Amino acid sequence: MLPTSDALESLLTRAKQLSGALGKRGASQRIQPALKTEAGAIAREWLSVSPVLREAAICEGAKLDQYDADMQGLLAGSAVHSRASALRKKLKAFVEGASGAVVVPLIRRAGSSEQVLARQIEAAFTAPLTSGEATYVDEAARCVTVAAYRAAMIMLWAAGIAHLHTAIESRGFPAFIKAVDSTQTRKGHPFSIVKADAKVSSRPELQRLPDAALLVVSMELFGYDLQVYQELARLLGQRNDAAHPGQSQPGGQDVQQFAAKLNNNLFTMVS
Amino acid sequence: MYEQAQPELDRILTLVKSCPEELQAKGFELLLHGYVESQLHRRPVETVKETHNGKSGPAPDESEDGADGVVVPAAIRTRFKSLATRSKVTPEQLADLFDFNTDPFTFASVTVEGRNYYEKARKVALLVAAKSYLTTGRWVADWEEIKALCIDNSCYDAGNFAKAMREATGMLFKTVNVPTSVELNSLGTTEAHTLVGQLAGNAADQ
Repeated sequence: MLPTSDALESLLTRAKQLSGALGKRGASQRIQPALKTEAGAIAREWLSVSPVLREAAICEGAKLDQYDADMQGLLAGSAVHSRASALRKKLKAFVEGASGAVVVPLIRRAGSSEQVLARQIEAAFTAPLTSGEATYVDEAARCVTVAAYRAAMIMLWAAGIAHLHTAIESRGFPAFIKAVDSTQTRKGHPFSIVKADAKVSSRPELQRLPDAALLVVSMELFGYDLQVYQELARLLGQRNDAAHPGQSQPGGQDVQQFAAKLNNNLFTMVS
Repeated sequence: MYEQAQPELDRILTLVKSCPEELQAKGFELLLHGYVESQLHRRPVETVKETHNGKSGPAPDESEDGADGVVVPAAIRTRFKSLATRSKVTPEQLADLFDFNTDPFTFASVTVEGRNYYEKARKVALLVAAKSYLTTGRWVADWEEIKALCIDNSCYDAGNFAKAMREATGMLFKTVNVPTSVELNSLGTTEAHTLVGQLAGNAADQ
């Protein structure tokens, strides 16, 4: 995961402060242990974020090579007797150039409309998420950063169904079967789509049930009304359009709205 | 279409002169191509304005694109119209602030002015919140997007950025969550409408 620009700015600030402190000691080998510890910590922190920055391909590779080599030298120098000027020299290129070479590209990347949209999609889920649901939402957010909007919708719907499954399990299967029975006493669409084989008593069986039927039974089980059901059915339709060949071409804002509606109509209604 | 091309051509030639000699021909070609492309993208708006002002032909179908010829994503159309109305500009003027040719849409070239870094950075936050309003319905600006737009407007001061935002809490901002978001209060929302109105008016004049 890419570091935040604030984290990298903070690292750069620490490097500048360390460089200043080392500068006051000139060529002396008598360096306070705290400064050496800080030098090692800065070098280690940089070396842990550098591969991620390199993989994201947002910075010039030659600069990263230089900073990596300098930081490895700084790390080695912080563990042995070194002159303050030698350690400071290892920080020089980073202190002077990292703002333009690393921080600014990182800010531009983090502030790009794709990344903003990804964060908006994650923020759309105001209801608490389980780790499993959060994984799907995170995957959807990553999909929008590469304009894979259909894939994002499929992932978001998967998060919704995972939420529904967990909520049904926590209510208990007897309650679910009772809800199926009540649904089947009702006439007409959409109640008629719930068949007798919907009376399940385990998660694997639940996973085999069509999503459309689950949404209908959940009206009974969780007490949401027909309007909420219809909104969820529309979202399922969008999800199915995204999952099958056709002319539907959702855009980034469609995914954002999909996420917001899923949160409002499923995550906050079903618990 | 090229009535106002001379100043742009002069700017391109100035930029080309700053390139190494062996790259000047290629640089000129790229910059000229970019200018022509930008003019082509502006055409739908201008065509609609001409048609509308001349009262010839049917009025543009607002229900379809919401901005008289500019293709605004359907998902934001209602809020787009609302923002235009409250900012006292036409949808075409407001559309000039954004680039809807990309998905997700972005800001077009926007220049935010102010007396100092603080004022400019806060104005950028208002502008980003207005864009966020279009997409999410909430006047909440994304922290990283504010920073990126501040860099574009030469008003990013790393050491004082968070302070500039925090100090406007209660004045323009309801909450400032470092490093995630800035939420506007009612005064901030009003200021954002005013700023959008000014910038959209300027963008349309250019």
